[in-house]
Order: sequence, then structure tokens, then C-alpha cells
Amino acid sequence: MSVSRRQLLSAFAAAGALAAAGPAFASEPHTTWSPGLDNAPAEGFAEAAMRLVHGRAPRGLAGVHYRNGPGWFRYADSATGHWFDGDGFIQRFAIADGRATHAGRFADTPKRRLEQREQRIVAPGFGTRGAPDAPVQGPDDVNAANTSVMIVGDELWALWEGGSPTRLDPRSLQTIGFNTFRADLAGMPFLAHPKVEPNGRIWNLGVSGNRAIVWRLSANGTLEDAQVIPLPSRSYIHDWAVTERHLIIPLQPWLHQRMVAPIVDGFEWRGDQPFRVLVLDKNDYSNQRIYDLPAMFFFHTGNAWEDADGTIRFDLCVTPDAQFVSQDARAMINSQVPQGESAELVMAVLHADGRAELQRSGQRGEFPQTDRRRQGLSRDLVAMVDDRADNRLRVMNWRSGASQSYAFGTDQMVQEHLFVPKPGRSGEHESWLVGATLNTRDRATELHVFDAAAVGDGPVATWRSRYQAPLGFHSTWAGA
Amino acid sequence: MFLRTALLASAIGLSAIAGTPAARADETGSLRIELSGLAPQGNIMLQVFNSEAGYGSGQGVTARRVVVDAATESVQIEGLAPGQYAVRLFHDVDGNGELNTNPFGIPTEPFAFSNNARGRFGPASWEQAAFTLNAGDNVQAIAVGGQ
Repeated sequence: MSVSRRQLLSAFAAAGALAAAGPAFASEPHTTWSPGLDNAPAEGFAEAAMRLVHGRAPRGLAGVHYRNGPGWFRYADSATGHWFDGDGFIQRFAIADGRATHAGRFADTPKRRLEQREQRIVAPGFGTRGAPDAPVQGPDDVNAANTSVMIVGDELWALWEGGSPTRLDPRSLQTIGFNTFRADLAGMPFLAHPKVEPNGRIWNLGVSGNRAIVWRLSANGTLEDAQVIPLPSRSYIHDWAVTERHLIIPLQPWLHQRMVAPIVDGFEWRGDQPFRVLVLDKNDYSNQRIYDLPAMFFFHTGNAWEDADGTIRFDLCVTPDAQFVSQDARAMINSQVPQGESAELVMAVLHADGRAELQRSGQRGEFPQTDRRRQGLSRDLVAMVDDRADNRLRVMNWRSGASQSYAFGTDQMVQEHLFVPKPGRSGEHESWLVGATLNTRDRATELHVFDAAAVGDGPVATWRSRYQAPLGFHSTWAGA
Repeated sequence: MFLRTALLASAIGLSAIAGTPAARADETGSLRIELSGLAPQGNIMLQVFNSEAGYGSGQGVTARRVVVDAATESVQIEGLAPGQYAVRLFHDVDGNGELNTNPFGIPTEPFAFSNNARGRFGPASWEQAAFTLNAGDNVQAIAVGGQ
């Protein structure tokens, strides 16, 4: 979840120039420095045509790219304490008949309603202390609905990780309300990274301390099963992985040791402890194995699968420690530049005999994406965002070891790109990659389409929005 | 991350009713508790405490069950000796006599405290919820369920 350090540096340098220009600028306490962390307009973006600025729309590409991310960070006298605590702003990029439109709307959560009414930050959050008088009855009172989106049946769900999914109308983006599944499960956590099997079944986790709830939903979102399991550590868990037969829960040594506000201050990096991986049998959660890997920090996995001999493989983007989440993502709100290392893509290999090893790719990147048709199944490709220097979209092939990339350059903040299958094709390379960037020179959000087999050739089509949206986290694609 | 109110669940209950302390009428105070923000169903279960120790252990001086027929309800408690008090309550929406919680111990029914005090990671503390009850009439207005 890092953004380009260089982009931030240049943005902050510009802010510094403004501040130096005179006290009129310098005295404004909450001007926004980075366009990626500006407030989106409270009323959102009315649906508007995007302008094709490069290439042409590929024949057969039709559908909607939905995107979610923190979109509101500050009021006149108060600000969130962490990038992850901004209100969820959901964007809708619709492609049809060679044209694209862009719309955006805030998730209408109790947190957002209250804070908009009072024009101040009230809710405690992951890295936000919150007001002492915050009317908090449970997790959904502080639910930011800001991390990801998924289509379930005829609804769009905005996902957080500490509370319930927020149901939205996928056309209007209007909020319907929380989905608590069952009265006794209200306020249970639901990660922003559900795993959808090829048959449509949805698996997810929710985590609190050293316990997790394992969610199993039908393809239309009906609750099939919810079981609470103990975890061997109090690790921060943002993402996980699922194979055809197993649930894989990575347990990194960033541990929730104290219940304090804000939450992030209660975590402690324990580099002396291993990165454990808990593997559960999908049919019997008591049937478990634990593997040990060296200490490292991760947010995101690519996808997991099992070889015929029982070896489990899953890729993930790792950093040496928790610097980004515990410090950088807070400092960004205050216009400071991230200091931590960029993530490296690695492959975790869990052998049937209990040994575990890491294969390094040498490739830097985050927001890893794979062909979602292959959830839990063997595949070669992973697309990711390399935010260093010239902002690259990179596709790595694990089988060949080859990678190719396209550099957007210093004026673009590149975001997650998704595999979108070409009609009638089944190969992972027979896909497009669709994703957004923030063009900081023209101050506009752009939507790009690449051929997954030829990313190095650059986008085959680029549309530019009349709007400039804050950086987001995660996306989904709904084919027409 | 949030409220851990298994403590609250165990602390509030009509079974915890203790005797109202004896006091002469001319020295006592009355407490009117005005409740708002209610969904008209179920019952409010409330308990009144007159010490930090009692608050912490769930040993109240009196308790009430209030049938909820409207968005606002009130309850009058007479004959309390002047001093420090605190009130805590929950809305037993489904009428099962208990504060329902999810599997992680977070209440799934509304709860509240005197002074409209808010706990951070659990029930409001005695310091937050305590108020002075004087001889004569006293009122606590409590918004149930927060917002």
C-alpha cells in the first residue's frame, strides 16, 4: 500500500514552495499537499464521459471497473491520523461501445454521516484517536467502508476489514446499508480480501486478536457457514489465500499487544519471531499445519495453489518490517515522505513434509493481481504496481522468470490493475489489464487498458476523466 | 479493536438487584431517567450503582425493567440517599433478558451509561458515568444507542 515516494516528494516539495511563498499559504493548517490524499468532493462525481487520449478501445471490452479507497481525510480543524482511515470513496468506470464514463460516490456510513454533520473527525480508527465523545456502540459505527469492492449477486459491496460489508447499488453507488448476515453476527469483521472460487463460492476471514471467523458464502452472498477459530498469534492480517483444499492464514510478527487508541499503536514488530503460516483443511478446520518462514511484513497475497504432491505455493509482496503501516501511512497525512522500503514479490512454498521456503523474484511491486478465474489454481502471471521512480505496471511470469513493465513516468501515480478476460479466451495472458492512474501533471484520473501479453508496449487505450480522484486501494471488474 | 462488553453483559441483570438503602424521606433524592432514541420493542434493562466497587462488580442498589412502547421512555426511582451514582443499561430488543453479543463479545443490542458516557474498549468507567445525586429531584437524560 505504498505510493510513489518520488511522487510524494515532488508533491511535498511543491507544497514547501507554496509555504515559502508567503504566510498566507503557510498559515493554512490543512491545505492538501498530495493530490492522492486530497478530499474528494463531498457530493462525489456525477457520471461524466471520459476522453480517449491514447489508442483506441479494444473490441469486445465491456464492463465496469469499480474502485474503492479512502477519499476524505480532513476537516477545517481535524484530520485522520492514518491513510487507512479516510471515508470510502467508490468509483465506477464503465466501458461500453468503445466509450468510458467515470462516476464516484462516498459510502454513506454512520461514521461519514456523523462527521459530515459535525464537520470534524469523530470516529476512532486504525490510526486515528477519535473524539472522546464518539458515539461508538460497535465496529460498524466506525466502519470506513474504504478498502475494496466486490460484486455479489446484484449488489456491490464496499469492504473494510474491521466490520460488516456495506451494500451499494452497483449502478447509482447509493448505499443500501450493512450486510451483517445474521443478527448474532452483527459487527463481526470481514476482510477486504474475500476469495471467490471458480464455482462462485466466497470464502473470507475476519480477525480480532488471536481469533478469526471463517466466513463461507454462496455465490449470491447467502451465509453458508461462519465459524470462530483460535489463532496461534495476534498478528495483523489484511489478506490471506485459499487453494482448492486449504485455507492459508499468514501470521506475520506484527502483533497486537495492547488495546490502546489508536489501534496501530498497540501493534509491535517482533523481528525475532518467525512469519508463521497456518494452513487449515477446508472441510475440517481442526485439521491444521503450521509452517515457519523468516520474519517479514506483508499486506497482500497474489493467489495460492497446490501441486499434485501437496506442495502449497502462494505469492505475496513483502517488506523487511512494518515501517509503512506503523509510520509512513500516518506521516503521509501530515505531508511527510514515506521512508520504508518498497515491497518485493516473493513466492512462499510450503512442502508436504513440513518445510517452508521463500523464493525471491527480485521484482519490486505491490497490489499484486492474478487472473481471478484461476483462484486457488495454478497460474504463472502476476501483475503489480512498482511505485519507485518512474511508476511502472509490471507483469511477472513465475514459470519463465521473465517480467515486462511499462513506465508511466514521474507524472503518474499508478494504481492496481486487474486482469480482464478477453471474450472467448481462457489463457491468463489472453487478458487485458485495466486500472487507474492519477495524472498529477494534468490533475486528472486516467483509466488504462493494456494487453496482458504485451504490457511493455504501453496501454492500448487511455481515457482521461474530468475528475481527479484520491488514490484508492482495491478494485473489481464486472463484465458486461 | 472495539468494545469488549462481556463485562457489561454480566454486570447488568435483574438478578443483581440489591436492596435500596434505607433513608428518611426528607433526606432522599429521586432520580428520573429519561431515555431517548429507542426502537419501540423489547425492554430497557437498567441498573443503578452508588459506588465504584459496586459498579465494577455489578452489585447495584436497584434495577428496573422498562417496557419500550415508544421512542422515548422514562423511569422514576425514589428514595435514594444523596451521593455519587452511575447508571448503565441496555436495550433488550428481543426480550430474552440478556445483552446479546456477537461471537467476539461485542454487543449487538444498544447500550448506554449515565452522563451518556462512552467507553473506549469496553464499558464506560465509573469516573465517566458517575454523577452527584442531591436531595430532591434529579434527572439523567440518556440517549440509547449513541447517535
